[in-house]
Amino acid sequence: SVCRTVVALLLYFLLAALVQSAPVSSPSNPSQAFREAAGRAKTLVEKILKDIPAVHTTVITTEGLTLDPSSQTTNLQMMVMELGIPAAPVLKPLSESFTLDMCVSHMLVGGRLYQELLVVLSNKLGGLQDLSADLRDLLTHINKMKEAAQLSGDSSDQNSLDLASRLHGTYEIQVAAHLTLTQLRSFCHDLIRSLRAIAAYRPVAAGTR
Amino acid sequence: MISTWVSAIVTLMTFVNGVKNEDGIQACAKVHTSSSVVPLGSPVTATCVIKEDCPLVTGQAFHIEWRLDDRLILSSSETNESSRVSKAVISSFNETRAILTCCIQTSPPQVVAGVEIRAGYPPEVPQNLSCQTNLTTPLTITCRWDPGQRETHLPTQYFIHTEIWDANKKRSYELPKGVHHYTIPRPEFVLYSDMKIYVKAVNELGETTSAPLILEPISSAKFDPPKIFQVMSERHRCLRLRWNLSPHQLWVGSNNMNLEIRLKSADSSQWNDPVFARNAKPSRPVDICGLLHWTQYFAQIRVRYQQSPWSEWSSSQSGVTLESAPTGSLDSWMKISGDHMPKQLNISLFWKPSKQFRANGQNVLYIVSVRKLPGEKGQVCSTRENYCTFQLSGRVKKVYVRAVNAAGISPPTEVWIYKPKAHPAVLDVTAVPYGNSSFLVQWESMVSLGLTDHVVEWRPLLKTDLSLIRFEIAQQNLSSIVITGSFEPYKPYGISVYPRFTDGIGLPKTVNAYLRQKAPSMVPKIHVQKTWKSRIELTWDQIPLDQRNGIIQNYTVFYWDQKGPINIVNVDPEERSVILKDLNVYDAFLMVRTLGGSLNGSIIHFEFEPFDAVAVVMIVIASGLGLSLLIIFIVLTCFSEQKRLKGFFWPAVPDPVNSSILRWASESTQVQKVDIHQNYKEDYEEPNPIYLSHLSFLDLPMKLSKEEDDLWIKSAEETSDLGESICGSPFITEYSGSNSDSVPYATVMFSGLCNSPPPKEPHVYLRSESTQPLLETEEPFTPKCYQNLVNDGMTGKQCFFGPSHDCAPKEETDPSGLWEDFPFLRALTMNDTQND
Repeated sequence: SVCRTVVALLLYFLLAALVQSAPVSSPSNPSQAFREAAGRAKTLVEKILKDIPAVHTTVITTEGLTLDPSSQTTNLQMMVMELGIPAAPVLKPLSESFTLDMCVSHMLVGGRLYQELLVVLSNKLGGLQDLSADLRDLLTHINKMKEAAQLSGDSSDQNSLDLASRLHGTYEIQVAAHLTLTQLRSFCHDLIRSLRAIAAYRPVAAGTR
Repeated sequence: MISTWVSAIVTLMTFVNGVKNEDGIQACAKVHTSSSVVPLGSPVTATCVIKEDCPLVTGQAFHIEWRLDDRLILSSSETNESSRVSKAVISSFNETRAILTCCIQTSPPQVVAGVEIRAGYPPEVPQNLSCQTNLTTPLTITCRWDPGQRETHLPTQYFIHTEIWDANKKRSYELPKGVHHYTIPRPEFVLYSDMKIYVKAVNELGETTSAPLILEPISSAKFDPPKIFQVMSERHRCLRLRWNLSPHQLWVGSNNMNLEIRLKSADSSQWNDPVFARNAKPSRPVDICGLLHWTQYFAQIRVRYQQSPWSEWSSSQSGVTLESAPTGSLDSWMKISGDHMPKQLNISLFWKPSKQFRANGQNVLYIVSVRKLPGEKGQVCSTRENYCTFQLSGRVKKVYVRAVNAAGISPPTEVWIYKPKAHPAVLDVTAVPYGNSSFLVQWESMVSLGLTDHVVEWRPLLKTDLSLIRFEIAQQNLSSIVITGSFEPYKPYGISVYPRFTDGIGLPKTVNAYLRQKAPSMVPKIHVQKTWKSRIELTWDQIPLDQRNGIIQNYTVFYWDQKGPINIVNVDPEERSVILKDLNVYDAFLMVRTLGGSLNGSIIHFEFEPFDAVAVVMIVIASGLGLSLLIIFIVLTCFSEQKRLKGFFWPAVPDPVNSSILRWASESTQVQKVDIHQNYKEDYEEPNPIYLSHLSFLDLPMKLSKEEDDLWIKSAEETSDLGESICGSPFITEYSGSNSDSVPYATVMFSGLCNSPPPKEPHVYLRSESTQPLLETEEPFTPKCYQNLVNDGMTGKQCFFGPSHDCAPKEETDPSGLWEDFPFLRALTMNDTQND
């Protein structure tokens, strides 16, 4: 209950700061820069979410690989393991145990993961460049959020990818692309939720934790 | 052409020298220039060095000359045999491309070396660099610039450089020659990061760089037109707009957008000034306030992100503001009709919204009342129309009109009751079409005291509905006004101008007008009204108003006979009849003309009777009059010359019964002959048919034989003297002459004496005709013999009829005894005796 009270107070101060900074603000203002970066990141996530179905339709030509979970008949869990596609880090609701620092770090790790996957797949398939660029832009703004909030989370401890060496045939490429896009979509949904949650979060609070 | 030729020579020389080079033979000469590409108009310096082993100059003096294309350069310096070097200076190189050659003056001169020199300008700074992000799939940025107006004459290469600080990324793109735009692909820019873009132009004389453009790609995007999906009113005088971006740009919607809204009321053609809304998001509706009540507005919006170009306007969406009580006053126009009894007035009141009036709602009801305060008392009419007719007492001075809607009631409009005045104040009203749906009404106003304004009233003449009457109020000083309404072409409108005074309404002037005119829809049928000798009257009916289609200018009758030319008669529109003269047989048709055209009627055919009933009657009347005048003249003449005529036409015929001769005879036998002389004197004095000189006897009835007819014919001339025929008139029924009015006379010539027995030879008849009425009245079958008294006795020479010798009196043996039964003859005898 103490933690809840602290979070509530933090949110209160964050709201007060946002209201005060709303009329005149400049990117030099850390909270404004954080908010701006978060807003843009959210916009980009929405763009990625909007684009994924179209990209999937363009790129994935193998029967049975659809984005619609209800029409997904085959279980690809084994393929996931065989291809070595790692799962993105989990984004939980902000809490004392899952701080803004951790949240943003997880965002960065997940974003980089999918960007690297898309880069690898782009060498084998066309039509993924724009999505990759969107993801790159997203990472740029998540980094800006991190800078604005002076977060120190280290995101370098990510697993190295060995996907390229496992893409032997077209089917593997198609499955890898399908799995990447599907997981990216789920990750983007998590990102949206997290970004909405931290839109009201105060970087000062993160810095003073 | 020449330069091409020179180039060919140089190439050939090079080839020759090259061959020599391959064979180990050195080139004969070499040209050095300061620069092969120079700014246009700048000086060029060149040096030609002749090698010592050049066979052309070995052991002999030579002279070097310079040529630029085919022109000899005079400024070439002198050379000497030892140095074998020549220097040329071109003070101003004005060619964009030329060949400079070094020649040795032999016979013929030999080109030993050459060089191409090009000239031009360094590139201009690229201007007007602009970039726009295309948010459709795929996302791109397209940049354009202006290379400058000056021709460089040298190939210029363009490079576009981008620099993204956030991504620490720099890129340079080389463009094909002549291309001044470039599309940056999506991976090369970050949507929400500022990037620096500039263009570099490079040629052999230098390079220039455009002013850098720093932009955030998303802020350079021109969005698709947004969409308004709802316009509704939740507050008075406000509209709330709900909107969204186009479907594939929805992802941008979480950003704060700039929005512009423009509105237009339903009855307006102009958009209001746009209203700017900052920080708009599709999730937040936009409220527009300060609008009119119960007004339908059309709304359009456009968006941009920060300072990006505005999108195009969205499609229109309409909404209606909330209802409110009517406001403002009404313009009114009152006419008082019927008898002008002071106690009761028949009033027609028309109204319309003034410029300030706002209905502010639907289903507006108008209430006319004699009371200023609202309420049912005093209410004289309640209508949704724009007029009302009612009766009011002459004592009422004014009424009040209010507009009512569901939200409330308007303040009253006061209308004074002006009574008609027989006071003309308007002259010469004209109405001419003005544009497609208006009339320009002009009038002359008489200067009149108390004139407040004019009311121009108009109505369609083909419809009688009072609700169609419209009016406009013109100030006192105005003499023209443009009236606009739902005027239909080819329909007549009655436009009246009423002067309004402080104490009443003057007499109006009215004019009919058409917005547009065309030919009438029908032509009236020609009626042949009257025909008489060589004249005909043609008439026709008026064209019904709904078929005139314009103001009738005139009627034209075209008529012609089978051979003659077409004759044309114009008739004024008011007349509708024409009289044609000097005709025989004709065809004709009628043409009706308005200002919009004319229409011809069907051809009719008509003929003229040479003597028709009228002509006969006229002739008979004229003849009768003439005859009457003649008779009157004759009668008058008769009265004035009575005696003379009487004597001429009706000679005095003595009455044998009352004859003095008879009396004399009686007296001579019965009375003494004493008074004979006296009686004679008396008889002599009275009017006495003394002129009778012939005696005829008629033997009737007698049939006329053919021989007698011949005799009639033979002696007709001799029996024409009717005046002297004194014998009794026979009434001959058997005879019927050609002239029934005349009375035939027959004169019988006896061969013997009257009392003698009839001779054996037939009597001679002489026929005569006369209209003498006197003789007609004589009794038939009682012919009496008369004897004209003559002064002297009849001699044989005086016998007019028949053989004269038969007439000779025979010897008178015993006259008294002989004439016993013939007193007349006896009297003659006596007379002769007396005379003797």
